[in-house]
Amino acid sequence: MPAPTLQNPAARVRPVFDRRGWSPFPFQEDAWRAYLAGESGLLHAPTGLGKTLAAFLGPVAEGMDRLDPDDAQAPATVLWITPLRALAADTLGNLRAPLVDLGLRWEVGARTGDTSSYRRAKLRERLPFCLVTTPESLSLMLTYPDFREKLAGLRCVVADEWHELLGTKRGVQTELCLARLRRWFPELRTWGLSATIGNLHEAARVLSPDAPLTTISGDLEKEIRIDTLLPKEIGRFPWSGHIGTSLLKEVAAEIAKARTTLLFTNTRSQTEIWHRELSEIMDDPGRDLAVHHGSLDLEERRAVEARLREGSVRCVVCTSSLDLGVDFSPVDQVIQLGSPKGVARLLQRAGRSGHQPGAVSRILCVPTQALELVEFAATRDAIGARHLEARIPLRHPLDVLVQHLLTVVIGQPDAPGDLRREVESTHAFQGLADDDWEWALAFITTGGRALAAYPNYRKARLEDGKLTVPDKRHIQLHRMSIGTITSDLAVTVRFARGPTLGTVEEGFVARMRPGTHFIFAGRLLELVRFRNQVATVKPPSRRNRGEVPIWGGAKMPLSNELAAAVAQRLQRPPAETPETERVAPILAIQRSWSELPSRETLLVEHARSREGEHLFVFPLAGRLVHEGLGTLAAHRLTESSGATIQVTMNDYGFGLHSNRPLPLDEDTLRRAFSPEDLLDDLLACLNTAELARRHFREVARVAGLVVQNFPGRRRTTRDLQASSSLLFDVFRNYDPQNLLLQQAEREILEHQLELTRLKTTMRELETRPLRLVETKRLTPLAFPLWAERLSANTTGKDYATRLAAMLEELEQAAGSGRE
Amino acid sequence: MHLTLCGSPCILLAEHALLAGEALILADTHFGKSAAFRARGIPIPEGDTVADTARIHALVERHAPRELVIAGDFLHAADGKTEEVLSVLGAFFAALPCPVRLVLGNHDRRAGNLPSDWSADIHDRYDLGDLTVVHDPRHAPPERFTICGHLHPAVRIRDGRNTGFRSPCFWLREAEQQLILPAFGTFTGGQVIRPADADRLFAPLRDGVVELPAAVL
Repeated sequence: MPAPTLQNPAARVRPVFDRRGWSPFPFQEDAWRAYLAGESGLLHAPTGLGKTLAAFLGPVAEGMDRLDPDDAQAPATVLWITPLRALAADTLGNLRAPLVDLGLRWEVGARTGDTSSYRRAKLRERLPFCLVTTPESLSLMLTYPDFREKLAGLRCVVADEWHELLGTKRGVQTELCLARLRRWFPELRTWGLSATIGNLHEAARVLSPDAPLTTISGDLEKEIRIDTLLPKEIGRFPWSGHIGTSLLKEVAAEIAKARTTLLFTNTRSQTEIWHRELSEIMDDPGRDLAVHHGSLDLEERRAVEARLREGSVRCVVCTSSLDLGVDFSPVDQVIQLGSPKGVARLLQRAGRSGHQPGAVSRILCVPTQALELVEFAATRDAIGARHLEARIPLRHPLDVLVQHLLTVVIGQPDAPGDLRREVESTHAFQGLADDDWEWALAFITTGGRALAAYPNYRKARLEDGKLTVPDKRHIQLHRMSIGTITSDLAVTVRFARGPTLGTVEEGFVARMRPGTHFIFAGRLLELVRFRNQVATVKPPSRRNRGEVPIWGGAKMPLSNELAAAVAQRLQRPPAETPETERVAPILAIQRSWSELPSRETLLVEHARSREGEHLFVFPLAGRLVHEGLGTLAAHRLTESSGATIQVTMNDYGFGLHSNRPLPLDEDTLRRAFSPEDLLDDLLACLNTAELARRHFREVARVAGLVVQNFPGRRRTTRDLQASSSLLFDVFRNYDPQNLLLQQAEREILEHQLELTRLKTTMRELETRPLRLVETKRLTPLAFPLWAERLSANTTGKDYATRLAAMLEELEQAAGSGRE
Repeated sequence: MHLTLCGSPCILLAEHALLAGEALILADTHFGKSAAFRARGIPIPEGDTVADTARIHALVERHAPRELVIAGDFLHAADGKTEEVLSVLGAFFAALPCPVRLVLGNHDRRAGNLPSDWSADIHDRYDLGDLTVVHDPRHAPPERFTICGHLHPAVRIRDGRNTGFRSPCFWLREAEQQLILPAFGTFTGGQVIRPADADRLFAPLRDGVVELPAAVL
């Protein structure tokens, strides 16, 4: 006879809803029923719609049939994986509350990088009913031999915010951990929670490659409204740029109208600039305004989050650091500053308001330049049509594989054959080539296939047919380096006697002299000294504006989905949306001087200026693709002529600038954009080795080649410091067949240049009719590409070449009698 | 690049070494570094030991110095003193046509003694006429012009486009009367320095060494 809960789980967990005066959503009841029927599933719904309860109350209802409600020592039943350790504290609260409502004394605990050593020791003894953890901490726990025993009662594993992990190395790490848990507990049920993305079915398959997941949607139960703050005079509105504070006063007025506002920007620098500008016009910025971004110190961020939760701050200027799930109920207004860049991204941000079930999510978009108005309208179109971005899962990242192999054999010696079957049961490593597997095994045992290159190296070794790691020092070092998150070399900013404020990039501080003023963490600071990766600061001795740090990292491209929506929107009558109606005069100029670009044709504008000639090409395919395409075209066009061409790019197209005539016949242009010999030409013109060297940092860190410094651990790892760039050279010289080098090159092509998208675009361009237009003046679309030519990119050359060129330039300047 | 340091004619070599009169000086070879990594469970390939000893040999052959002075951190760490590394280094010492002066560095002190049958001549500081070689600039005798290592100096070169890069460098500190050599070992990194206004910086560029004008820093 089935337990009563099986028939009516909703009745069992009713008190959770009654106490809040809610009633369960249908998708929540579906999820509970499916769970109790033994199914695994993927739940997708916008944030703030009770996904947590949908996933958690199934196992709870089941537990109510078989566990003692008063047993604080109820066995570990649910493992809850969250992508951000900052989220763990909130998740903990959200999971504890329903247990209290139901009168259950079962424990919920968290094990993350932030957990105190006392709590960690406690958790080593016994695990709670539900354990909240991150992929890194889960991996770490896998290195303890008794972890399996501690988990003996495990029935359910939940991957929270699965869309955030999918497509990342941490996602692959999660896949591998799940494979291990499933091997231990074949009956384990897997539940994924995801925001809505373009490839939900694939997301489900990655989470559970063998057993198909039930997909449950709460998608239609949330209303979203996108409004735009329209500039009054479009004629004076800038055609380019991305900092644009021209709507500052209007934004301040909107902030004053709402109770609590989240103001999302696209970059950390933009966050600091808007914070500074707003604080100059708001009445009491100290009380009402705060700043939040990923480079701020954890404590600072926590303090801001606490103020948000209490509702004691009016506006927080932030980056994607506040994109994720934390529940800030007081937030009643969300503002997006500048291009949304992606459809799902705007949707996610909109979901930060109206977090209560049933409330409407509203987002107010603020343009920083004219064309962004079109992007806002296009995003609304794409959301309406449910054209959301896909998160493409990673395949065969060998750095993650070698890290994980060591992790699991440290925990439990294992036969290579069994290990391989387990690894290949994941989506990421399905069909792993023999060669790759052999290499990975060699990497963790003897160092590499080129044995002679690794004398005296032994880490994992085969004992009685099982791989094991006998050396305690190796185990300790591995535990320290588990994880896949990498960050750039950062300089800590702190007051001489006082708190740490956060981190900035070394390059920014390195060129400042003591006494220089700069803006950081919403404060004006004066540099006192910079030593040992610490920039000591003090409040400034005099008042001035100060520089704003620029953090590195590529600019985020417009997603393919949004770019397609923009292309379509441009061809529709402007009167259809308030945004396009306002920008109509500029679109009219574009149409009369040239034409509006579309994805059916390829628009090429040709213009002359005092500096020379310019070609502007508009494939509408996103910034990274344009970078690849532009660089490639420049390379091919100059190969024969010997002229130099500068390349600029943005999300709409790219510009080629030269002081000599540029070819204008269709054949030559077509050849320049042709996908033929794409890879060879790219490798030739981009110096991918140089790019791969820079990217090697991440690969090296994940594979355990870079030892991180930990406070207090300095002594033991002092002799193991080497930069990833140096490691790259050493591998290239002495073990060039090392697959990690190839991986770095592959990743750079895919991430930095979006090679797949580039190929697709080029094949598509071949079929589009070419529209070559002579323009007398720079059109609204060409202008931003022209304005960027001063910072045109010169990457790709090795340093000796660049230094020699710079010195030559200096000599010429000196020789021409400038002094 | 020719310089006169405290009256002594010197040549800065692109190979991260210095010819001072008839002495060849280099610093921070960090032999056995990749072996130390391997001993601790990090698979870094070997190859630097042979490559770097060969580079020194080539320099000795080309410039035929009367002596070779290594300004400290000849070895990297105790667990890098593996048999392979020591046998390569032993053969290297035996084959050198000139005497070697090893000035001890912080890494050497931690790495422990060298095999007793090597003909190494070990010093805390080594005087060459008016010049003195010590490892750590903080231990330089105040009244003398000193050649040092230890810092692995590198500079950040700015190209004004947010895509600056780093280069190892020779760092001539006028006020302190010191020349800091770039690290010689292939598997050693650089530390970005913050030079004073009066200091001069020299960077290896292709086959030579050039002085870096303030405009690129």
